[in-house]
Formats: sequence, structure tokens, C-alpha cells
Amino acid sequence: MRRGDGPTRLVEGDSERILSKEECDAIVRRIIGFAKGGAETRVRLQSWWNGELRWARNRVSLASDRRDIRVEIWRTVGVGRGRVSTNQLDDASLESAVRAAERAAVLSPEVLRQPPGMPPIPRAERPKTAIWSDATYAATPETRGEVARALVAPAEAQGMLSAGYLEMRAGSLLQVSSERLVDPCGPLDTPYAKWTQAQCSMTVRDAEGTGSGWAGRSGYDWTKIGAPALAARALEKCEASRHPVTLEPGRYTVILEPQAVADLMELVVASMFRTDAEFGTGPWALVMDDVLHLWRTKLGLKVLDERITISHDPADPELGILPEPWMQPVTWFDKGVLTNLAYDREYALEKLNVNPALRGMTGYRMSGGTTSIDEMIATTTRGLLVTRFSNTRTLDSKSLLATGLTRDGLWLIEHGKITKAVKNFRFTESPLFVLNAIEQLGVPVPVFRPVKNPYEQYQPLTPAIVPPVKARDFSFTSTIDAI
Amino acid sequence: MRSDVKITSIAGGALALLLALAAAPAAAQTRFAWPDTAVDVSQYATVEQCLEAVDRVRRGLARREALTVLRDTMPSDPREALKPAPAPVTETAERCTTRFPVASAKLADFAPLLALYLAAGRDADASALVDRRVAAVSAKNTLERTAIGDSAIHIYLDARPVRLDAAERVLVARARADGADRLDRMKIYANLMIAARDVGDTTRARRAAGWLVAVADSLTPAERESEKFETMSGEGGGRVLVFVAMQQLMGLPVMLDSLRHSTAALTSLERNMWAQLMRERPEALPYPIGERAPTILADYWIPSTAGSTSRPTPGHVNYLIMLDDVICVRTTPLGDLSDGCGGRLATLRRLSERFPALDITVVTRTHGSFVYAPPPSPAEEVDMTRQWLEPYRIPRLTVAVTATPFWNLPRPDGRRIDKPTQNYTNYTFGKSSPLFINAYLIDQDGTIVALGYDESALAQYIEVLLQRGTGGAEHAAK
Repeated sequence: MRRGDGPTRLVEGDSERILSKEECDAIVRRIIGFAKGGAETRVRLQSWWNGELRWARNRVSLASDRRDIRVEIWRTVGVGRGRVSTNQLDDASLESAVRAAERAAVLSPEVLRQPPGMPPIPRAERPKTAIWSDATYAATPETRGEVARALVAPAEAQGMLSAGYLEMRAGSLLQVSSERLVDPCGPLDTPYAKWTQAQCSMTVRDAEGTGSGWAGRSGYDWTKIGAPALAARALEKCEASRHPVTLEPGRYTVILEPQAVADLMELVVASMFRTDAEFGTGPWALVMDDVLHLWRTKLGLKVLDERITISHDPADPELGILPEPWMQPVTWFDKGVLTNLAYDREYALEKLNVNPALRGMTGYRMSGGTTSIDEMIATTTRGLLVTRFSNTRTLDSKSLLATGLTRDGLWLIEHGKITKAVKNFRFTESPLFVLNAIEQLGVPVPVFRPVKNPYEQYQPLTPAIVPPVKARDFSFTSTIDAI
Repeated sequence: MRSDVKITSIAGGALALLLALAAAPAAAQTRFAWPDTAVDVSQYATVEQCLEAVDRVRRGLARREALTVLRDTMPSDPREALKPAPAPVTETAERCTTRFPVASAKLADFAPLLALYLAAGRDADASALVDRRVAAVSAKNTLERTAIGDSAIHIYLDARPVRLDAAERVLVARARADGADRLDRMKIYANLMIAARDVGDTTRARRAAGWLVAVADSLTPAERESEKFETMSGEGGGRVLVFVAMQQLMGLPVMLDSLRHSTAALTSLERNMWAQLMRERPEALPYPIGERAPTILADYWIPSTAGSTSRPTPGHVNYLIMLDDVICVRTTPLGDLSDGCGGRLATLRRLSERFPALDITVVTRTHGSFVYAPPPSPAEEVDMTRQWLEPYRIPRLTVAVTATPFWNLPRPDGRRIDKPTQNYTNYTFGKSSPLFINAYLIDQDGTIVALGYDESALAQYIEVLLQRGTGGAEHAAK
């Protein structure tokens, strides 16, 4: 990778893993300087660093430290616009890319959809959010190696097999137009922003393959991940889940650890869109209004237990996400009442006559209670303690009825005590049913919510803070052999 | 790159090494090179890949044409669809189809291969393929044979140039097949009629219209009230198709003759024809031909002085368009004036330039938003509409804007619900389920004589109206 005007090469060990604001500004100025014939030049400049370490059967299988840059250039020529991307920053390559964008604008353009006489681009303010950690950014391959050694050692010492993934990332983004170079404030602009991400998850299994334990956590600050505690919890769960007994499927009272709640909540997160509800699909469509010829939605109706409030404040230091234009605090469920569904800016302007879009549940905090998991167990006559779910899939979008598997630790509770490990179940249940059958709520904690596709460069954080939940009548429909 | 430089000495070798070292950083990178965009059909293994390649070539040419040909001064050519496809499209299809001989082609590829043969100009192979496909089905399996025929007709009509002869041949066979559903037949006749009409083949269009009307005439009351009939053609259902067929059968010259005589004569002709065809009262004609055009009400006028004269202007020929400018702005790419909203604005400009005595009024309303601007006030929105319309340079254009009355659903839903404006209500003419029409040609007496956007037909109507003056020959005779 090269940067700057000259042929300077970023050498291994160089502490600068992403482009600084000054470097981005300089590159953008050079790109705009290469444009010929006036009109708009739009530049999207991303830099990205990813350090990862993967291990299996107590041995490291992958250790990498990668970085890259992506420059996207849009050039307007006449009524056409062409786009080209590159990852090369020397003058010759950038000029070649600008020329290519101009050729693309003439030869095979995206025809501009903006008619003449349009109003000026409105100013788009962004809030300050906490998404940067020097500790995460400073982590080296050696740091990750040492962490992994400390995570693997306790399991290995007990004759267990561990597997896991450890990742630190940083990225930067700048998207500007030549028409707003000094003050990039349009809805499509992104002033320089940089962020870090860290995630750690591990599974410990016994040598006979009868027990499995898991723990994980993600966030922007590596120092808050608590890797040793994760290792201890995964090991403890593995030991406690060995030699499970088979239990009849059926409806059970369940104590869902925060990760299990978050796994179910993903189904809710994916459903939170106004346009779906107004097309009559998904769980939030209510009924077709034959007079107004539109779908009424469940906005304003109580749909969850009244102890549930789900919200997001961009200023919350534990819930930092990449700031978007006009981003405000939002509450999606207020004491069980559905109060907001996401929409884009076009919808906001056209249907609500307001300016900002409303983001989806990219980051969220779910309200909880004060009951500890131990207290939940102590007050359960017969039930199951669930570590997490995997392979959750929606079966019915109207009710959000879903199926999935319990994994990495499932225990039977009898008369206030954990009595035995249980073979895993397939469940057939809706998160909406669960959140309407709550008996107790615990203290919300940050959970493991990794980026969806770690191999994509631009994947902002989506943190979640979720409580443990004790709920009745959770439906398990069959046993499975997986541990 | 330097193969012509022979380095034979140690000094030369050292120099080369120095050059190589100096160039190392740049050499480590791959310079951007413009990709080869020529269509290499050898890499396409399936019919679908070939068809997609042909379509890419077609789209690329269309995009290029959109940049080099601004169609705002040219009315759309009805015979455009009869012109041969551009040579690069045909050549790509020809090269790609050589590996799919008709005798051995998989019948599972029937639909895409038929389209590909037509794109390549291999009409004989296309016909043979249809025959092979039909022969592969049992004679008793009328359902599948019918489906094959329908597919072939659609593909023939979608092809460029459109294959009207072939489509009609299959259609006749299809109509004669036992068990063919009459509503399906009506739809196919309509497709042929519209395709023929759109390319100016009036003889064929009238022939298809006759078949359509014959089928429509034989429909049972249950069939006329069926969902299939109601959804046959968008909002107006099968009734719209019957109306279009009726106009084809009458023919534009006949209607213009009636109009030359008087607006009342034209109205009587259309209503009575409708009554005969649909066995309904003449007044049940679902289009407001012969109705008095209500006066347009507006809160804002562009230009602002236009409000001093009532619209439609008494004593003038008026063309009035109800234009939803939000949809128009959002769907009209700059430079694309060949169709849709942009095309309509270009039509207005040409009509206005050709007929200086014609008064054109665009009727619109406020929406509380304008593309990406922060929510504007009604006055700001009107000003944005004015600025947006200016580049279309429509002479003497008057725009009437109503500040839309609206209410919001209770929070937290909050959706804006627009109430119908008085203009839109007035122009439903009290019909319980009016067909969606939003462009009206109005005579000097304020009576609606024609509807729609067909520039060629509109121009002929306007000429007749301007020549005959108020009332027409019948009026003059009195």
C-alpha cells in the first residue's frame, strides 16, 4: 500500500494503520485536481485495518494483520455520471482512475436522476458518538497471540479443546463532493470519521465431545471485552454441560442468558421497518384500512410486556455507532408500546413531512430488572437455563415464529437448583411470545454482536445491551444431537 | 516493454538493476487498465447467458443514445418498434445462437431461446422451435398448448422489431383451440391490438379490436363481473380494453368527422357505441367525453398573474393535465424526455409551440415535500415547482397549484393523509369509480372532447377544434 504523493511505502510495524483526516483531505484534493471539465467530483475514501487470530483444537490456525484502502470516484460529465474504484494512491493511478470515471460517465453512465432547478442540498448535522479506542487500535499481532495463549491455556490444562476467534479492527471513512469540500454537510456526505471494533468469542469442548461451553463479547474498546473472564466462563460451562441427559420436548419455563435473548432479538431487529408494515407484511402490520386504502400499523399499540423498553441514544458511550445525519435518540418500544419503526429520508419527507430518516435498530439498549440469574434459578421449580441460540430462522413473518437450536450449555433446573445438563433442543417459538411471557428480568449487559460479514471492509458496529430473561412456556419441539 | 534493450555488459546490468530498484514501488502495483468491453460470446454456455449478453448490448446502446439524442423536439415515432434492432445487438445474438441449433435445442430453454432467435433475426428457426415445442405436448393437453401459444405471442410482441405477423398466426391458432378461456383470449387480442396500434398498423389493430369486441360481446354477466375481467388492464379492467377497441373500430377519421360536425355529435357517437358494446346506458361511458369541464380552483398560480383568468379559458381550446409533480420529479431523469413524465412535458412544449392558440394548464397540488429539500411551506414548494418546470421551456404554460388539505394519522404513526383536492373531486364527474384519466382536451365551449397523451391524435383533434371554432358545423347551421 502506498500513500502520499511520493512512492513512500507503509512498512510492516508502521503504527498508522488507517488514513488520518489530513491524509484523506490531501488525497481528495489531489483527486479533484485531476478532474477535467468542471462539474462535480465525488470521492468516497475508506481505509481499513483488521487484525485477527483464529484457533481450533488449542492451536492457532490463522493469524493475520491486514489493511487496505478503497477509493471510489464519481465524475459528472454532462448529464452522465461514471464511477471507478481503486486502492492505489500514487498520482498516476489516481489520475488514471479519474479519467476512467470520466470515460464511464460518457460511455455507460448512470444517467443523473436529478432534474434541473432542484433546491439546494440541506445541511446534515451529525452527533458525536463514542466509537474509538486507542487500546484497540494499538493492539499488535503479538498482543493477540498473548491473549490467545492465555485463553487456550486453562482449557488445555484441563484436557479440553478450545476454539475461538479474536479480532480487532479500525477504519476510517470520508465521503465528500467537490461542491462541499470544506464543509461536507450533505446527506450523502460523511465528514471524516474513524472507529475501532473488537470481538472475542470462544468455545470449549471436552475430549469425548459430550460437553460444550461458549462465551463472547464485542465492543469498540478491547479493554472492556474481558477476555480472561470469557475463557473462564466457557470452560466452566463446558465442564458443567458434560454427559447431558435427554429430556422430553415441550413447553418449559426458561432462563435465557443475555446472549440467548440477543440471539432471539435479531429477529425483531430485522423486522423494524415502516415500509414493510405499510405493505401489510411483517409483525407490525395491523389491518387494511378500507376507507383510507392503507395498512394500519401497530405503532402506538402495546405489543410487549410493559417492563420492556428498547431504545438507543447515540451519545451513550456503550452504544456508539457511526454517526448518521440528523441522528437523534430513539425509543422503539416504550414500556411495551411500539413507538417507532425505521424509515429512510425519502419516506420521512414524503409521508411525515419531517427532515431526518430514522435508523433501524443498529444499536440498542433493552431495559431490564434487578434479578440476578442465580435468583431466577432459585425461584424456578422446573425449567431450563439457556446459554445461547444458533441457526435461528423465521418461519412466519407475521408472528415472527422462528426455529433454531440451543447450543453450548443447556441445564435442567429443579426446585431452585441446576440439577443436570440436558441435550440440546430445537425450539419453535416467537420472540414476541417470549417478550409477552416474562416472569423476571435481570441487569442488562453488553453482548456479543459481531459484524455480519467480517470480510467486508465497511461494517460499522451494532452494539446491544440486553438483560437475562426468565419466561414461561417456551416451546421446544425436538431434541438434537449437537452439543 | 523494454525487450528491445539488450544489456550485454556488466555496466549495463548494474544500470538495469538500479532502474529496477528505483522503479520497484510503482512496479509492485497494478496500474488501472480500462477493461475490454467487447462481447465475447465464447464464454457464454447457456441460452440465458446469451440472452443477458444481448440485453446488455441493447441497454448499453440505449444509454448511449439517451446521452447523444435529446428527444424533446421529436414526437415519438410510432413505427420505432418496427425498425430492426441495432446491428451490434443482432450480431451478438447471431454469434451466440450458432451453438443452439433448432433441431437439437433443449425444449426446456423454449422461452429464452425463442427470444434469442428473434434477436438474431432467425425467424424461421423461431417458428420451427414453436412447432417443436407444441408437437412435444399431447394434443389432448390443451392447457399446456395454450400456455405455449401465450408465451410465444408475448415473446413475438416483445421482440424488436415486433413480429406482428408471427404473433397473429399463433394467436389465430390459439383462439381456435378448444378450451381456450375467453377472458384470456380477450387479453391476448388486446395485446395484439395495442402492439399493432402503437406501431401504426391500423388495419391489424382494427382486426384485433374486432375479435376483442366479439369476445367481449359474448361474455356472460358472471364473466364481466369476475375479478379476472376487473383486473385485466390496470385500474379500468376489461372495460378499458373494450373502450380502446371501440375507438379502434370507429377509427380516428370517423371521430374527427363527428367532432368537425359538433362536439355533441362526437359525444353521441362514443356513448352510443359504448351502449351497444356493453349493453349499458349511453351515459355509463366510463370516460367524461361530452362532460362540461369544471373551472380549475387554485391557491397559487404560475405565473402569479394567471389566476385573473378562469381555466379552462372560455372561447379557447384548452389542454389540461392533472400532474402529480412529486412522482414526476422523482421519476424523470434529466435528458430522458422520450417517455413517462418527461415525455409528457416535452409533448406539452411541442403542442404549445405548434398551436399558439392552445391554452395549456398543468394542475397540481402541494405535497409538503420536494425531493430532498427540508420540508417546504406551500409557497416555497410552488416556487420549487416553478424552478423545476422552467428548463422544460413550455411556452405560455399556466400552472395551477392547490395547497393540499391534509391530516395526519395520530402519533406515533403520524402519516400524512392527503384529502382529495376540489379539482380532483370535480374531475371525477360524480362517477363512483372513475377510471383514472388525468389529461383532458377541452373545446372552446368548455366541453371535454378527448383524453390522454397521444400527441398525434391530440394534434388532429386540436386542428379540427381550431378550424371549426365554437360549437362546430352543427352550431353554425343553427
